[in-house]
Amino acid sequence: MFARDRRYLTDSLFGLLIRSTSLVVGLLILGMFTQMLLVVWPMFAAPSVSEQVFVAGMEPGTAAVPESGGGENPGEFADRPVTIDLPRKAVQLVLVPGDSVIAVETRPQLPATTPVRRQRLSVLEGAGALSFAAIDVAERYLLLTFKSGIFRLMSIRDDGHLESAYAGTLPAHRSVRPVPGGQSWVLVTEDALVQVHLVFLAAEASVATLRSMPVSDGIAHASTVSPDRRVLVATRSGEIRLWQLDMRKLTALDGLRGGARSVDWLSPVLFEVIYSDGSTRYFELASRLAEMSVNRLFFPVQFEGYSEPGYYWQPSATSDGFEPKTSLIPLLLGTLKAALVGLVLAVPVALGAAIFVGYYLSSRRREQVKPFIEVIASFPTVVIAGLAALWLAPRLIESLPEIVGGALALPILGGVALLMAKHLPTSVTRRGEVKVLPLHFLPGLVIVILVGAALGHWVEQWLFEGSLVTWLPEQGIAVQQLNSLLVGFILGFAILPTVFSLAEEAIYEVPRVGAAGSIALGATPWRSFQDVVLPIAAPGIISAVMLGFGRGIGETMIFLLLSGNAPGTDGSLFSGIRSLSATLAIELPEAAVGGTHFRTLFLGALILFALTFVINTLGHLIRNRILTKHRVSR
Amino acid sequence: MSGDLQRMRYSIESVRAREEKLGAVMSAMTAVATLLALLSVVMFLGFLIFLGGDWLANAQSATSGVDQPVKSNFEVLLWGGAELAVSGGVFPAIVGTIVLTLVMTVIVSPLGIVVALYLTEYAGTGWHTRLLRIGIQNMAAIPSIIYGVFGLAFFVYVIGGRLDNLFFAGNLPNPTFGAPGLLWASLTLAILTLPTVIVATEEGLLRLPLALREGSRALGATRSETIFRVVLPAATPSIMTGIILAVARAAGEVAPLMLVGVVRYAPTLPVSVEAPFIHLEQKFMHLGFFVYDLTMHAPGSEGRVGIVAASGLLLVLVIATLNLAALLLRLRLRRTFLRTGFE
Repeated sequence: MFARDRRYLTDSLFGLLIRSTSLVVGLLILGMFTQMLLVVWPMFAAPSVSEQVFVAGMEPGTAAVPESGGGENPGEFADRPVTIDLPRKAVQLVLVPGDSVIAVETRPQLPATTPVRRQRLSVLEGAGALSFAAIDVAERYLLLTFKSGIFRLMSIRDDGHLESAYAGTLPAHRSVRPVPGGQSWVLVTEDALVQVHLVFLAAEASVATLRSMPVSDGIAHASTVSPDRRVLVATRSGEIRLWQLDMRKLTALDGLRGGARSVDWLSPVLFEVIYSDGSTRYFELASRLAEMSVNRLFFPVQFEGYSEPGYYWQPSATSDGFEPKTSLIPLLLGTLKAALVGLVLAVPVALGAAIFVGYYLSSRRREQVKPFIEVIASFPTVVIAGLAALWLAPRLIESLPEIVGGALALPILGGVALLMAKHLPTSVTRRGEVKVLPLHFLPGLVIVILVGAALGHWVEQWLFEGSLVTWLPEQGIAVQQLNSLLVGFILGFAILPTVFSLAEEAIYEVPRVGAAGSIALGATPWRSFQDVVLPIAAPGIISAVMLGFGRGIGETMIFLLLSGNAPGTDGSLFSGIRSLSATLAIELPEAAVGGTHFRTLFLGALILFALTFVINTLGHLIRNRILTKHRVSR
Repeated sequence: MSGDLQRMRYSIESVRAREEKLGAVMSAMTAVATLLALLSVVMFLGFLIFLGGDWLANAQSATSGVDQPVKSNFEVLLWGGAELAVSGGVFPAIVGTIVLTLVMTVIVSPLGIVVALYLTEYAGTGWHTRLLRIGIQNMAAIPSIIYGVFGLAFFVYVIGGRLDNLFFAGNLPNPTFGAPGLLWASLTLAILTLPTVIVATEEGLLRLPLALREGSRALGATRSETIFRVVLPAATPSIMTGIILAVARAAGEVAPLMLVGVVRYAPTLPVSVEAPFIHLEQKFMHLGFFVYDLTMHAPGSEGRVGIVAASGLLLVLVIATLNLAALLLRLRLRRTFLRTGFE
């Protein structure tokens, strides 16, 4: 009795174990999705603020963090000379504003190495008082702005002498806040924040408006720009708002009392608010995570120093004050471009082989031939890519005309030869079942390919003046050794077995009764295939192509070794690309955990995941429907 | 009248001729496509064997001094040498690959078998079973790099970070399990290859006739006893096939490993002769990554083809052997069942 109970207990425990383990595995995919979502989500959440209370006397003073702190704004004129250090040129500029002239003294940083130079700059008519002076990060230009909005850009010679380079008008403003990175500045006007930047238009330096952010209630006070490129604004109605420089909106901060008079950063996250009743309170942002927007990820954005909006992927800071550029478009386009090239190259071969093996070849022979094509799937892609990177990459473009010639010759020359032939190989035209691989085609095949290659070579001599490699750059098409054509070529090889295997199965699974009947009525095997088998197999073939595409966009090692990993958005086949998958492999180990870059990469992974998931699910749905529909009658 | 007949016959014959020519062209095209596909396989293998074999057959000549014995390139590949520019050679990478796949097998086998058992022996035909099947089908097609990303986020940072806080707090801030390492790489690969094991095992279980189970239950055995005494022993060959296929797939994967623990050079092997024998928290070297590293950081690209091909050949040989073993097992299994009349 006891033994029996124990047996049943074991049985039910085992059942429980199996059910719960399966549940865990079933939840795994959901878990993967959720995990990525959890990492990505904080990027899109509004920043949260908490108040920091300090013991009296222990408040963080502005002196404690002079670099990013408020108080004095370096470069701002307030009835006193402004001193600007030029460490690269080892000089110091002292600007003394006057009524109609600005006196400039150029002093060496080490006393008495070179004499002090003096220079006078004239102030333009009606410019008003001088408001701000700054140099760019390369110390090549000095920007002088006046309250009226007029500005002068002076180029700085190596000895510190100033020469007029450009003058123009910006919005009239109250004050200027430098942006970390030293090539853009935020102008604080009455009712807007305007970011201006140093930009080179037709090789001429100028200063132009980059973005402007209207503040509807008017600005009472604006803070400096934090190292994370965030400006705090106290509006005239006493509210505090946050502007992340490349966002197109002002974020209202919750949890702050109204009636603020001024606001300033004490550290990248800590800021002080001075209220109109004279009290001061301190607040802290929950994280340094930059807020992300769909606009920054998928639409063209104009960045500092760029003359036009565009798609750029440079997400990590190479230096302090670097403006991160996180457009996923170049990565997505690169991935899709190479996958499409791979598909275009692989599908004709894969489908042709699938039709031959699945339809023409006898069942016995099919079982022998099929594994030889499917074996490609078991080659590690890193080996395929490694060989291609070292052996094929230097040769591909050079021999491109020959390859294209050989590939085009196959259908054209082969078709013409067969149409001209009097005696057709009846085994494939009449009976419809082939017992041997047509190895006797091989010599003809080689000859046709060689003739095609020779024709390609001849065309190269004739059209491209002897060499495609030198001709293409002359037409303005940049040729890189690692390019999307190479990636597509090898990707095509890698997805060949996927497309072949699935399409072949779809064709083979179609009941042969219909085709046999149509052959008996006098149709040729091809006619029976086209009119009887193909309509039934078509969804399966489509799903095979889709699954091949899904395999292509997720491939990593081939992209990593062959694409050159240079993000670009052009449609050229001869330029390098950077794929999502390779970007993940390269950048994720080096991205700071939890930072904006890290989370953006997870968003990329999520997109890749969702993309392949949708493609695969669709493919499988199509396939499973077809299989259940026709399996019975086989 | 006879003129009409004549014309009809003529048009039928011309249609027939046209059809036959079209058929001939199309069937020849498909045959050519097949030959091309086969040719690409032959060419790839040919290059691999020719370039790799050529390099292996050569001996190290100029770099070794007079009093040093001339090393064969095979030894250079195995133990490292000046020409390799990677200290240590391929040997630690092979050890790393083997240990990694072994740990992975230990994790994936029970998991895959249990899920397959659930699908065939326990699950009904409800929507959740269908969902599970679609999920497993999809898992097989998710890009491997996504598994790496998941492994990094979940295993390394979430689970590894917790483990460190709980058990290895003394070492913090230096991570023990909170950094990429062998255990997390094995777990990641285990999830990656899970569908392979499930599908192969399920296939084997489905092939067993229902009468076998019914007979066992009729004799009074419980469901778990039936599974352990009858079903699993009979399905062992297909389970083995699944595991071998999983190992073959895992051995060729590099991308996910780059995120969860593979390194260019590990100073020590992940196994040792002293307890605990296997160091699950260590980073490791891997044959596939070795090939990647040789290619990516090749000083003079053209001259490196031989070394890359030789180490690639090694990897392909390992995987081919495993695949062949799976194939033979499957054949044996089929013969066994034909003999016992199961099918």
